[in-house]
Amino acid sequence: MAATTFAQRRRRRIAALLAPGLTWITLVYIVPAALIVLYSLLSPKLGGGVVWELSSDAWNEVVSKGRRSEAGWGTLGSAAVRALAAAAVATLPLAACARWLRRSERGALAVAAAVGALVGVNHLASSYNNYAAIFARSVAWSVWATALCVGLALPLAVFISSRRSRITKNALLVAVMIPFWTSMLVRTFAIRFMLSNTGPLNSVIESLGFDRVVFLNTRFAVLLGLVYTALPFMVLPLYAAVERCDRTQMEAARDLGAQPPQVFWDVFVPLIRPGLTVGSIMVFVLSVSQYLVPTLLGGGKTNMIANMLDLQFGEAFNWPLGAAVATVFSLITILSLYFVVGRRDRAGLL
Amino acid sequence: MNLFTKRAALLRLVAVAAVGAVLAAGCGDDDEAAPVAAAPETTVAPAEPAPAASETGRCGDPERLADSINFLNWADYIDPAILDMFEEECGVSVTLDTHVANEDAIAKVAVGNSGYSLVIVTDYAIAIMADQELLAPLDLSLIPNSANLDPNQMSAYYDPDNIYSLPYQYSTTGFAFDVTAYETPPTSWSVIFDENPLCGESSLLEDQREVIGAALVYLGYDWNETDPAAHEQALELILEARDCVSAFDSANYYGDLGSGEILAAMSWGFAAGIAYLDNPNVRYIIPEEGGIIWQDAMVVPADAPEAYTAHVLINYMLEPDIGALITEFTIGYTPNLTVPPELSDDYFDVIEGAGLVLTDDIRERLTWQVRDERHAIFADTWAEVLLYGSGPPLRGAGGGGGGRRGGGAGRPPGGRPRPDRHAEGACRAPGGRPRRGPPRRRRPHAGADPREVHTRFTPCR
Repeated sequence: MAATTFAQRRRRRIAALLAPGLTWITLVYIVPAALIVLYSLLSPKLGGGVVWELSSDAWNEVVSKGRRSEAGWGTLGSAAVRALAAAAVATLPLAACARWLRRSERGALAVAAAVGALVGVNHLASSYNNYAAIFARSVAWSVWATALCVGLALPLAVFISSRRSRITKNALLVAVMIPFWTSMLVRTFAIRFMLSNTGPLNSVIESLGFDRVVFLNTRFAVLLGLVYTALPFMVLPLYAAVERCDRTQMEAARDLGAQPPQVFWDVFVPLIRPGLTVGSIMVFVLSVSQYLVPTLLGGGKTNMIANMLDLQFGEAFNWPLGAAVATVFSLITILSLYFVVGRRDRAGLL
Repeated sequence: MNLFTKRAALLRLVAVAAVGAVLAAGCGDDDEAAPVAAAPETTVAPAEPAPAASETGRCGDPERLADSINFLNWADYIDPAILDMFEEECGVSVTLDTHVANEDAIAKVAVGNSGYSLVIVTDYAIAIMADQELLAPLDLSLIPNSANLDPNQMSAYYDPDNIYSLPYQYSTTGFAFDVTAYETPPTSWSVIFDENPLCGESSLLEDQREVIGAALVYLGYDWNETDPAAHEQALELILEARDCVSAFDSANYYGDLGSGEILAAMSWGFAAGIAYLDNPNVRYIIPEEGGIIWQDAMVVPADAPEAYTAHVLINYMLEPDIGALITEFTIGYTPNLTVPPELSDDYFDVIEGAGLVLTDDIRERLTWQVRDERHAIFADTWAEVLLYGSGPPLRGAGGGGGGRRGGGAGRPPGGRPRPDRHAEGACRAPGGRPRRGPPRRRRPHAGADPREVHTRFTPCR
């Protein structure tokens, strides 16, 4: 009797503690999410909003919008060729690395296949103008941005972590953080200025006697913007992970005869994997939902999902279509989180 | 009552003018001033029992005026000094809030209880808002200055009887370019849609109606064409042009045009004027195939808390001197027939210099852009333009490059001469180069202290 009372009381206390949070989540996340799904099934109204008539137009549009103008078997073929070529080019060095690391080549082949797939998807996404293409493009660019961020942030994190003096470390970390202190809008405008036809970069190029290069409003500019904006979100978790990781383990591996690449791959990378995962998620989620960067650096020509949301909820007055796009968008983010975190976490890696 | 007020206001105006004449004539001709001053005084006295109430006659009935009013306007679309003047003169403090897209303004008012008593939006938005019963009918008897409005700009398609709106400023959509960039100045949209010699240095607006409309007129259709086959052709044309233009951009292009960053752009008329302030080589044309005329107008929301004060403010903004301040600030066209004599020479220098003079000949080429349910197809076509992913690769801008089409033909050797940005005689905007900012449509205001900046001009000579 006393036991049940205690259990009940405990349950009640937990419920009371959780109630504010759960109410908040329900009001701010679950209800709006449900509304968005509901809106995607209604009819658009001129001037914004919805007419309360059920309609599947929005979903039809998301699924079947767009002409495959230049697409078709030819594009599919050329995408396949590019994918295979990219995979083949990637295979050789990756396999060599794997051999060097004395690991099986299967992992290397998987990575090469992923690179190939990414190249193929990217090419396909550039040739189609439907929603699948813009989703694929946004995801592909975000994956590129994430990979580039890892490549740039890891050496930096190791460098900062290897400084002896605390002051130097802090100074370097502050230097990484400083961009946070300015508005992202201002920073993006700064990049815009740097890359512009008459900007500093082109002045240098012209003073060296070359023709100007159009940097702004290209895919290059968008990718640069994505990496630039997201980089601190990769550096900080990686730095934390590198700081935490136990150097003696690497020394032990070295003493036991492991080559440096092996130490890196078999000891260091598993040790910093939590930081890597967190950083990748942050960079990916931030990049895939970018609005400013494609708007300001892509010149409205290289758009991502958020730009389509803006169009449908704004100028186009098509809220149902915007809601349908938003639903797919959320699903993409949630599913990618599930695949990266959910599964890793079960394996106890995060 | 209404007629009475109107007459009283008119008489008061006459009285003020007469007093002014007396003062002006004080050191000169007494013979002429005396009878003019005498006549209204005798008439006014019985008609106005409380003359002290509003000395200038521009503030309506002070009993009914609110202390403050919320005003929603396009960003940087009114000289802030005007609002200070209104506060000084009439004792109403105006809180200015800005929007950067008609859609934002509609959304703000549509939710209800927005608190705005006066809103300025563009033509088609008024039709939408009126349709959704978001607007209150205007009481023109409270706005005697509405009699001064240009009949050409009244009774537009969006509000045929001017029940809800009175025009504020209007302008056009056409093509702006740096004259030094072309051998012969362009006269047609073909420089965008057929052979664009300025790859990477020309831009199109980021606007579904204007870009698709221009493609449609270039193909010989109407700006407001809704036929899917026509849109299919227009889409084809835009997708081809898109690889060469540097951007779809409505926010930064006029700053870029002024700084020489780009050399040609599909442009709003007033924006070409602003670019001209920075770069006197900028010229504006309405291409022979046609352009758009658009108009921003003043409306009072149906749930406006201070509708009367809003009417007074509308009337105030239709005063000749205030209208001149507005037009000199926006570099648009004024729909108020009493304003042009008040405008400064600097304004006309810009209008004439940049080729913004609106002749009857040009007017014939302009169309209003209608927007209702039938025009949803524009959004569909535009979505296809934006969804399309073939972004341009990096490309050389100086000499012939990979993706250029018809580039080098007829160009002087050694590349095109760079425009001389700061040619002498350039009237520069106060504060110098325009700040680039997020507004989608209007140029950010460059001046530091709003009270100092009554116009965008500094004397050139």
